[in-house]
Amino acid sequence: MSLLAFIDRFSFRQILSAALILAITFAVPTTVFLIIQQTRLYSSAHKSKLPANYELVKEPFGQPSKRPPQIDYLRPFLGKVDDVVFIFGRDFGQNPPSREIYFGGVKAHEEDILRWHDDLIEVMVPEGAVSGLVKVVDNHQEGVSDWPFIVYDETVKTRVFWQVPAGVGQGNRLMVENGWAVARAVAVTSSGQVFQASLKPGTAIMPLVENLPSRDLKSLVLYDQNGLLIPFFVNPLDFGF
Amino acid sequence: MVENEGARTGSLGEFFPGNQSPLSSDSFAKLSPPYGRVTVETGINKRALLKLLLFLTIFVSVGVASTVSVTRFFTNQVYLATKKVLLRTPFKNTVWQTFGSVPEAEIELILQTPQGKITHAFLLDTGAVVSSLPREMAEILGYNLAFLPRQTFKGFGNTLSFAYQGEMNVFLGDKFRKLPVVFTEATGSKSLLGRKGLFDKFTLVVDHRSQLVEIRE
Repeated sequence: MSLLAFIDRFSFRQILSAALILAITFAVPTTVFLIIQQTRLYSSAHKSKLPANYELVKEPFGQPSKRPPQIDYLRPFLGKVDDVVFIFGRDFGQNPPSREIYFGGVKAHEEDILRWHDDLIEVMVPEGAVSGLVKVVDNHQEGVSDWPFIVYDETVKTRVFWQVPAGVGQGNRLMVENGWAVARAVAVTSSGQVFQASLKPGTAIMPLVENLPSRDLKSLVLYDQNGLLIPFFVNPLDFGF
Repeated sequence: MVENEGARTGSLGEFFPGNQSPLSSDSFAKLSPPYGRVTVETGINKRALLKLLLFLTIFVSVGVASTVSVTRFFTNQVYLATKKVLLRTPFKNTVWQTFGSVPEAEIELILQTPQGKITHAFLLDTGAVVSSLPREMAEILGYNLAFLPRQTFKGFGNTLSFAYQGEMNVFLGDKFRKLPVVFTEATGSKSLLGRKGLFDKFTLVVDHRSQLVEIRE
């Protein structure tokens, strides 16, 4: 009996079923075999543990300045403990060995000083720092900032922000939230213009300083009725830092 | 009647040309059975061939297809399990005017926010110390920038800017994992997936053959 005659004895349905059954019968062991092969292949991978390698690069000490250091401004004008601050100015010396920085009378540790160039110091606000003037000492010569640096923490509720949008025909307006104790505000623009305003506490949100020509501030300071500094915070997004 | 007979005779004459005598309709009827068997046998052969073809086609296609697909599926599962692959994503090719098509390891990660889960694309950057997100993302992730630790961030060309340090909850594998991140002022630029928290805890594989990037445990 020929193959064709043998096959023709079965109906199409039987052929279809037989083909499917045989296909699956073939596929199952083949699949299992292939999977076992793949598993063996992948399980041959090994792990290696490399020792941790730490390297601390310190900039070499240079020469102190011959003139007393002069602080132009701090950027930003406020921060928390361990926040980085840039001190811009001149005659700081080139990474001098004898150097000190004070935040409101609290000295920064050597490890808080990240960079010390003649015109720029990068420093972290030291533990225990309080709002106040910043002092830079280079080889026993000192320079003090014109405006206080504000130190705040998580407990501070007073927030300063820009009114958005500014009123028609008006300059930029600074607003304060929860500024019940604020009696006076001083804003210094990037061009050095000083704007002062006296406040009569009334509402939770009120205008602080108005008609500012730009939103680029060098400094912003709030005082209470006794002339003491009031810590506050701002949204860095609004103040460009 | 005569006309009909003649017409039938004439038509048969076409099959028997020359001097063979034309056949009557009865004679033709006697010849019919052999011609009919040939037709039936040819039909049987065709049908049998069709069945054989059907059998082979189904056997080969179903057998091979199921073997390949099941093997591939299980191989993939075995691969993911044995290699502890947490994430697998294909390269994204970007066409540059100068360099032509360049593959980019852009990875879409699921981030947890106070509002729920969001998907965010990161560029895997082995040159970046830490992962970075635009500052605008801080609020979305539930942070107030003012109360995040501030540090300096050295970007491309040694440009210095401020960055705010936080953490992001990233869905990797089967759970959310914390990765350190800095929020930078580089608005509009791509978010980066940097080394800290990634290189020290996970294995990264960039496979140019399969055009895939993998993050493994």
